[in-house]
Amino acid sequence: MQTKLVLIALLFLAVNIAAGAESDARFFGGDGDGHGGAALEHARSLDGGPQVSLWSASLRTFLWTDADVALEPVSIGAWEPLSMVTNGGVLKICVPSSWQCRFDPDAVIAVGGVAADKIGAPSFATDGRALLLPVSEDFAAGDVVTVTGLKIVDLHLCRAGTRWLELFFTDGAVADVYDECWLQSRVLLFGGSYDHWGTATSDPSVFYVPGGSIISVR
Amino acid sequence: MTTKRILAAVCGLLLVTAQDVDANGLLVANVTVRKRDARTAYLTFDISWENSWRFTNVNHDAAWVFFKARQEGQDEWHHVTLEGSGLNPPGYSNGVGTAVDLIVPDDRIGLFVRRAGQGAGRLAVTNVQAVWNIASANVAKMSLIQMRAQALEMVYVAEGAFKVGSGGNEPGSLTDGSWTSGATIPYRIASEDELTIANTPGCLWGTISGSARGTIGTAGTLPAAFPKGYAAFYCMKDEASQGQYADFLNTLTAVQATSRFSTSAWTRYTLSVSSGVHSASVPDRTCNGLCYADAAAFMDWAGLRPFTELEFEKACRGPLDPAPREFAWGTTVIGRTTGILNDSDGTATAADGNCNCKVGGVASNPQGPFRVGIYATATSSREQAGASYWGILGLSGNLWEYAVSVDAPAGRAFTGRHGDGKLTIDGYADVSGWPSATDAVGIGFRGGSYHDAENCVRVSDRSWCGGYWDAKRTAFCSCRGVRTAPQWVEP
Repeated sequence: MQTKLVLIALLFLAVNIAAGAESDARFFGGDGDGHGGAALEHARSLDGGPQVSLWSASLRTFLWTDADVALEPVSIGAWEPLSMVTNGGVLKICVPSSWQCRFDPDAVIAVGGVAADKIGAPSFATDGRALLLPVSEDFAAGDVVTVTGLKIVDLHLCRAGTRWLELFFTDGAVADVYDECWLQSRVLLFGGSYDHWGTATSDPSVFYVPGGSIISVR
Repeated sequence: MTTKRILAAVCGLLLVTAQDVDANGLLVANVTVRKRDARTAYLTFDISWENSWRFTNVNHDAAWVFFKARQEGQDEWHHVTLEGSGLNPPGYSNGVGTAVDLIVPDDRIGLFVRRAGQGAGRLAVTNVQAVWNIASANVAKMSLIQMRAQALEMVYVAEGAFKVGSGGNEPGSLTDGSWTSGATIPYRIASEDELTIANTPGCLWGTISGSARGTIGTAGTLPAAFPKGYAAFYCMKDEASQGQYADFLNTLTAVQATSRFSTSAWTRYTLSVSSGVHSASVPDRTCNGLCYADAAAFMDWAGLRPFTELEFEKACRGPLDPAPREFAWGTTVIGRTTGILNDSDGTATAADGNCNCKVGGVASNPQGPFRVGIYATATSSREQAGASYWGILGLSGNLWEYAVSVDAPAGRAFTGRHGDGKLTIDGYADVSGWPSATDAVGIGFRGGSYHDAENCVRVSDRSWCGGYWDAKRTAFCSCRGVRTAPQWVEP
């Protein structure tokens, strides 16, 4: 009997395989929509170069008349640094090149993150338009540093629009990477109705009386 | 009235109430005069306006307030010189309401009222008090007098370096003297010191020289006294309105007013005169039909002065790096207007666009001057408002601006002297050093008008600001004055 069952089972399996089974896993179902996704958490370049990212904690909007703006924490991540972020080098974070604003030189800057001990004392350069982070040890894949406390001043020198912080870690003239979050400057100038002129006239009257009691009679 | 006089006499003073008030965005009311001492008197007034601002890191707006006094039975209004100068001088009172500063320049021709602190929105203050030097106006102390207060919204243009020339190719544009062809090289003005005009690196130059229209003229110098825009100045927020010009005419003698009043039917010009009283049926519309003599007289009467073409570019661009071929609002985005809502009253609003000029060869509709500041709304951006960096309106388009040119010797000799509030008997400005009102040599045109293509309204366009002088009235010109700010005034 057992032999018989085994033979039947083998026969059934063979037939199914030969005919194209209509009850295999292709036709099973369950919960969910059958869609899944995954993305890189931070931007990578596609040119085969070093994979380094710059990202702020969130987007930031300000008015051009604001005295200063405290920036969100800014992080630098090295995913495949390819020996481009090395001891003796400098990570340079710059304000957007087309804006004339600068970092507040009096802001208290702190550097954190898993690679914080690979960064020396930060300093400002280029009249406050750049923050320099000296690298004291080669960066490895997965190293991240986070800069907190940055402020921008001279916002009145920013044109309206959206711009990005810039990161330089090579000696190039243009930024190696840009912030993944934007800074947005809003330049608002309000107005209303009518013109900008007013006038009023007093009634005719005597205003000067030399003292004592004088009654003016017309 | 008799009772009032008796009461006042007993008290040794008499308060005078307001007779008329303009229903404008800027209101002056309740002008009163009362004795202070044998030599001076108090002038008290209320003032308010919408959308005032002060950002101490940028700039502020202010009302320039000046007074005219008239003795009963006389035709002439006399300019009032104030007593004291500086910030909130002794005897002055900041009134009740919005905290304000009173700024009295050294020539005491008038005073600025501005916010005392950071803020924006409506400014309203009552019982502001200034001090009048009685002898300055030719009225008898014991006579019946009328006192008229005029207030004009102005915008503070802060001291600082800036650049002229946009880096584009606007005709006649100013440029660094290293320029030879192609796009201009913006020239940085970093002080009020004497400037050399020459086709040499580091000097001020223009892309047109010689005698052609738009020329910078010949090599030479701009003296230290020539206002270069580095120093702070106040600029009228917009060009003069028709109602404003009518008010000006109504404080002149009949002879003066006749000289300064145009009876021509300029496009959308609504001024008229009846029984010697001038009025405008659309008072908030920008005033056109003004020749340089008219504009100069207005500025002299108001204690202002013309701006130079260097100041014009500073007023537009501010301290920002130039953008090639930019308009006064700092970009090259421009849209004409296809219609106006409530065109004939003070609430006139543009249906669309941000500039009253021809765009792509098509004029805005209606053709002619619009209400002053028509593009600025409760939510507008700088570009939408057609506003300059500082918040000055209408510098590109609508009507041409008179600007002292760096071309002719008559322009270069301009010293920036302010008007003193007084005109000649026949109604002309008489300030020494100003270009002549007779031939207008030294006065050019900047900013374009409703009649011009968009190229003419670009900040650095000098097509008509050198080698071309025109003393005639036209439908396309208005008036905007400035006043050098006292050096101690901060943003």
